Amino acid sequence: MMLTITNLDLKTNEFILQNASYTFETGTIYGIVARNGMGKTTLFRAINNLKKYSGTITFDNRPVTKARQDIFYFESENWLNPSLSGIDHLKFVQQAWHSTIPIDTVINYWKMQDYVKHPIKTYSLGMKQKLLIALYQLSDAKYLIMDEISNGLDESSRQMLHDLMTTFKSQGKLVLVSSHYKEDLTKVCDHLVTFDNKQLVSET
Amino acid sequence: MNHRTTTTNSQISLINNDIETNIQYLKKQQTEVTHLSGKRKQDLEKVISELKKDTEIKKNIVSALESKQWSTAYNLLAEENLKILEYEKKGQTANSSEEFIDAIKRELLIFRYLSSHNMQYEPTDFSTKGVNFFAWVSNNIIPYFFVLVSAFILTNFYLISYRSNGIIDTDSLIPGKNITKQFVKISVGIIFSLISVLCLFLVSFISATFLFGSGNLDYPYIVYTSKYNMHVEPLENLLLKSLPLQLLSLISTCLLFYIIAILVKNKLGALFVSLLLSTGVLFGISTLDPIQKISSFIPITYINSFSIVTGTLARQIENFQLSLTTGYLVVTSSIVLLSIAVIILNRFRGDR
Repeated sequence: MMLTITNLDLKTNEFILQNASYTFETGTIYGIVARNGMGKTTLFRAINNLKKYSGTITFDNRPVTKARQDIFYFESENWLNPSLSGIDHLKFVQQAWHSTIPIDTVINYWKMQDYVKHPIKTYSLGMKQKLLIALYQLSDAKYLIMDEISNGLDESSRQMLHDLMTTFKSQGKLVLVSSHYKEDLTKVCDHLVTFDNKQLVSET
Repeated sequence: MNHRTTTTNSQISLINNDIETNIQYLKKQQTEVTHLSGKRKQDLEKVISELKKDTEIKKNIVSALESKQWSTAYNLLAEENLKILEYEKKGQTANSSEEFIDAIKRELLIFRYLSSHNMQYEPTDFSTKGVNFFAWVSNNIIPYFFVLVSAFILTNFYLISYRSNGIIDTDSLIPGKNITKQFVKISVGIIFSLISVLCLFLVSFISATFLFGSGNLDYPYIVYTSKYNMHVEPLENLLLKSLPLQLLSLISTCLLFYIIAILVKNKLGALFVSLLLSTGVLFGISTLDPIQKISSFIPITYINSFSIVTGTLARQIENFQLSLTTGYLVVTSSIVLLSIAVIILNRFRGDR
């Protein structure tokens, strides 16, 4: 069970990765650490087939299109529909990913009871970010790809996120999380991966 | 309130004006005739006698209209029109023109129908009664205003999943086949459009019925089969022919908007192209000669289904290829071709 990147060429204006290969094992938390603009989001988009690349990216030897049910990627809180409520988003994810996790469990975990039925446009950044993490939690997907997911969270929520990531790991899921702050990831990640000379390199 | 709502009153008042003019003219001529002699006197006396007869007929028409004896009233009006038509055909009036003769023929057909069905006259250019207003909405509101509004709403809806200036389609992250997701999205758009248009029809019908009465499904409308040939058909027949074509045409338009949206990917750009290819083309059909010539092959033309069934559009732009049969053929083909285009585009956007 793994996410395998083989001979990946990925570029925006210039190459971010060239002939890069890396294998991410399930039951592990990987932290992608890089400065702004180094290509963390572009890599995540390529993994999710949202960005053109050459090379191969497979999930358990399947292309991403055959493994959608096992992957959850929600790039940022900007993707939330401002006219819909938190509960609308949660119900949609539960249905689309055929999740058996009760919605109330995640609402209670993130203490969203007071605002989950309100439209997203009334949410603060922290509220949106909690909802976004709740969507990951509810999807129950095997591959969780999280881009700057701790943005806007206070200290206690950040700790709850770390606890949740550890739970994901114990459930045999693969967590791929990015951040500009190395110290944010060192606490919780098993491996830190960075971009070096257009390759993906482990830092451990 | 529209003064046309009191149609009969306005008809009566028009005829009363004619009667008043006749009476004034008669007085003048009667004074004049006393100063004349010989042939000129005889001619003027003949004119006076005809005017008296005409005034009498007009008074009978007014009295029949006032007592709601539609059959009698419209029979008399039809006879009046027939007389005018004969004069016109003989070229006995100074301002004879094809348009005027056409107008008289139209009135004659309508009056004869109304007389035989004992039915009240209702102007069809600005109808107020329930079913007539329904037809007016289908002919005037759906092709322009509704298409414009649906272009705006559907473009927004179809591109709601596109982020980062159209680079990313978040729908592709949702489990399931892309083609299924696309057709679900298209179907929602189509269902939305059809429900909206049915609601619009319903509200128009109910409000018009509530204010001015339900009207009559047998009401006659002029149908042109060529530039010079026309006949009348009851509204019910016309609606039964035109509504399915209009709804099919709306489905084709929804598919067109979807394809434009996924090709352009940007909301403003897609809206601009959609409006150009829908409302723009619809206005072009009535104004631009090159578009008029090919209009029978343009699926969106048939959203004007009511004026196609009545032959009004075909006569206006002199393109009698516009017909119900061509409409069904072109619109159904366009739905099939646009659906194939969606499938092909899905392959190009491609699953890796």
